[in-house]
Amino acid sequence: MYEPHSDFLRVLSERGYIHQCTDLENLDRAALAGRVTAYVGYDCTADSLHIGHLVSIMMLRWLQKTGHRPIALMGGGTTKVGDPSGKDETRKLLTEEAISGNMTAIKRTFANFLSFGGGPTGAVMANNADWLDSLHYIPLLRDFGRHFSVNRMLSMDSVRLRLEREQPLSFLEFNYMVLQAADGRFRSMGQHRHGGRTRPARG
Amino acid sequence: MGVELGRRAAELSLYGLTTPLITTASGTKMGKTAQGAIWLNPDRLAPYDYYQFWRNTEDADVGRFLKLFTELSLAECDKLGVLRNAEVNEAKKTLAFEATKLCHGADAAEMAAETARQTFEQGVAGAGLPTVEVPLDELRRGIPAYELFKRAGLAASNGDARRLIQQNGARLNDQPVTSEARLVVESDLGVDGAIKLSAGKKRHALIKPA
Repeated sequence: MYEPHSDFLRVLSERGYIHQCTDLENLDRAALAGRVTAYVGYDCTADSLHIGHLVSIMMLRWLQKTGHRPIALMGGGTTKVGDPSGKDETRKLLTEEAISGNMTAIKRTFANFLSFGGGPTGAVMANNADWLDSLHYIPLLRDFGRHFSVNRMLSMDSVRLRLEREQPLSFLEFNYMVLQAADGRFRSMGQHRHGGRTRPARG
Repeated sequence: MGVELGRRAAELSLYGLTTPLITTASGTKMGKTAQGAIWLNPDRLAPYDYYQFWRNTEDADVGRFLKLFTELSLAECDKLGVLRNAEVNEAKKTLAFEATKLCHGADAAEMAAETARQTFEQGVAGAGLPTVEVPLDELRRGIPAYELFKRAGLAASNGDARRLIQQNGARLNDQPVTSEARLVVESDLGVDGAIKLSAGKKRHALIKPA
């Protein structure tokens, strides 16, 4: 295994924080050459983090102590969707008020582990809702996406045949049927149609 | 996925680093306790309970947890991590104090350590209490409480011991003994491998299996 030279990765490696890295050598070079910035994302599903988050919090603390900038990234946007990992069933969707209350409570913990005083290595708390919201993607997911079963989508010919032939299918294309089905929900279509029901034609 | 997206969509050089899943020496996922999750916010879990969670670390995990969850030097972590038997408790106190200090501040950590000391140590194990050994198989069958109080030297006779219990003066591991016929069994042994008996506020004895 590669032995890191930068303070940051050497500490992490010696103390047992590293499981895998996409490119340890080049990251080590970057950390030796100057200041790196790293973020860890945290869900806002509860009003407190728990001990399972502590290894990554300590990692951000060491990052700061070794001269780099940590970002605690709050999943204010992604929590509106809900992480399916490790769950057998869909999570209950949280309201925006509940998510922002949780975020405020979680900030207290980071204030103890990281120094937010500004400066080149000052920690930053960011919220992914700040950029995800402007994509207007999450309302689409929450309003329409929740009614689509991926299990069924995978069984549709358009998708199934590509998968069976092991041909690439991008996520862009995978969304085609969602947008197509959503057509039927928009009343503005009625202004342009001539008789009949507002139901999209198949095919 | 994020590293790949950065490369494809924005020509950014991003690196991804993942941390190991921390399991305990007995193979369970760390932090999965009978009481539920170990929360970091003091409104959810008091600093004292947080301290006790660390204080109850398994012996074999102490060195590794010191490295991950405190900022003590590696040499110090290694030194504390190899302690066993009675000495390992000092290492666990260090782990509990340092971990609590990081999460809740030095004042809260000191208060938690002091509360723990008052609860578990004042006059208990290691403080030169009279210790009486009883055969382990006898403890497995169960020994009536009054008899054990007599054998521990906390009562002059069985009758004296029964009176002590009837007058609510007898405690076992700091809990009142409410029935003189209560059987004291192996599962009464505490984490320190002893049972603490008390007669009144000041007279204590330890029962240890032999």
